[in-house]
Amino acid sequence: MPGPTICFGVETSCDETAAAVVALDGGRPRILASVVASQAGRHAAYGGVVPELATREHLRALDWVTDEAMRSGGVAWRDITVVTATRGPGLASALMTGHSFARAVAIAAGKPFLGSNHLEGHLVSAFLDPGAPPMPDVGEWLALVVSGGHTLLAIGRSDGTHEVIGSTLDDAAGEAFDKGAKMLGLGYPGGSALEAAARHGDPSAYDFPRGMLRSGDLSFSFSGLKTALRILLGKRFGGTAPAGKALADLCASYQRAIVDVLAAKATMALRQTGLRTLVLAGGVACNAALRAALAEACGRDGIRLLAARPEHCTDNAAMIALAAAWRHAASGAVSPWDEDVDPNLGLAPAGQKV
Amino acid sequence: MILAIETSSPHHSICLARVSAPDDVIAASSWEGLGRSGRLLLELDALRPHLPGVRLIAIGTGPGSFSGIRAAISAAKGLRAVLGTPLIGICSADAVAADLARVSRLGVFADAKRKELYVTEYALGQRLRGPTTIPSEGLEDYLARLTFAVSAEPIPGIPNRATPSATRLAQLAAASWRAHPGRHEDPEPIYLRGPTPTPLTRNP
Repeated sequence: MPGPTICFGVETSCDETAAAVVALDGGRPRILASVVASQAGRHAAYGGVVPELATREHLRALDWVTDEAMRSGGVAWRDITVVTATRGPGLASALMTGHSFARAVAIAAGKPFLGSNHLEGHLVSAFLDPGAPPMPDVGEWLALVVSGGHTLLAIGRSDGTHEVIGSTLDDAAGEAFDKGAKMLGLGYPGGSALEAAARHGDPSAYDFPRGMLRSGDLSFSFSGLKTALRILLGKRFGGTAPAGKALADLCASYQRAIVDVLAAKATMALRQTGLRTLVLAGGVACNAALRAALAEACGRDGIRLLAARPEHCTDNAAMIALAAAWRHAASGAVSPWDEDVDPNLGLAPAGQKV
Repeated sequence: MILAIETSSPHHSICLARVSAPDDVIAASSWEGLGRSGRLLLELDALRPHLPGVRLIAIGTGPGSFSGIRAAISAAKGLRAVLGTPLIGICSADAVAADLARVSRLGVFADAKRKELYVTEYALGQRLRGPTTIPSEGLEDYLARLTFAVSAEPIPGIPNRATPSATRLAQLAAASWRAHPGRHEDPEPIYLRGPTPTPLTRNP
């Protein structure tokens, strides 16, 4: 009987330098170590992620996050089955640091290397929760991946394949949160600040547009939402962000518009596919209003909701290691040593299984 | 053995040599980088049987192509994470100057983008000044103080080409290691400017 697949993984697609060791045994993952060095504070002053700064910081942090992951995981390189790093999507120069580092680790340790798709990591991230059922028991699931860079609906399968069935046509939901927060004077990244302010507001105070809510398909659009906020701020508040109750009401209404669309499209996708499990993942999956809305919708329809734990919603290497371990265990897949990063790497479109 | 990697110019190279006799090259290879890191990893994989015997890793730290240098440093750090091998950085212009040690006043140039040039100045192989940046428009005046000017890539006004090589880098690193044995470094590309603070308008 084969032993567990133990994967050492590295993630450097944006502004978190992360390393993790994950064991996959009988479809059930176990995190042996997960270390994340966040650079968020270094970028906040610029109002967004500065790629050059991110890359410099990755180069400095890769050593110690790796040492810490191996030490706290209690594993030696000889215990590792496969090595991985995020191959894309993400910032080209940032991806390249982690990807080159991990390939050299694999060469030195005499282990195979398998590049990971960051989005595939999100697709399986909910299964890192010890309370989640093993992937083979679930078989097929619908995943709603919502982050600052992506908003998509995909079918994930325990055989290591996936298929995108819906995605945003313009802004990502997390981008809508962050841009809205910036307009409301809540800083960057302000998605969580907007959520905090929304807790004291009335979500029905302002009627923001629900983009493509009645389009009949599984596409999303959030670009009109921030335009609506800008117009509203101009007409009602002289172009500046209000304070107090008015700010709370704006935040709550803006958040409700995003959550309504995400919940409606996920529900539509579940009905169209007949799938009985919904995985919620990505940075925006931390949003309590979204979790509550999906929990209510799933509860109503008897759907099992697997929401990634908050530490696995933001960028981390545990989900990257799980994605690689999952694929390697299922098919023995490995990458060639001269595989390059792909900043625009996507998931397989509808009808094209990977 | 010493493993040297030089990727600061478009002409990349790798070399495995003896620390005690760095002229004794065990393996060497060179290729055109083309902004990709894949070939470097193929070369490292080809050297895999030798890796347990590597006692020092040397990286050319530029000034030059950040992409190439970072790929090499990242890979070297990956090797170090497993093998525990010490890692040191060597200024890539020093490797060019060592090839041209008879030049009385040498300038080693590289394109720094943003209408600037990197320059490192040498007299008979000894570094006098730099590396530093100068405005491209000041090149003509700068050349008046030199007897020979070289660059790895074509730069208007600099007619001579010279490329830093991993073989020369290995020799410099071995000498440096003998002078200061046992030290631990965390090499970075030679950054002569801060990061351009242009944030993304959209997350990746």
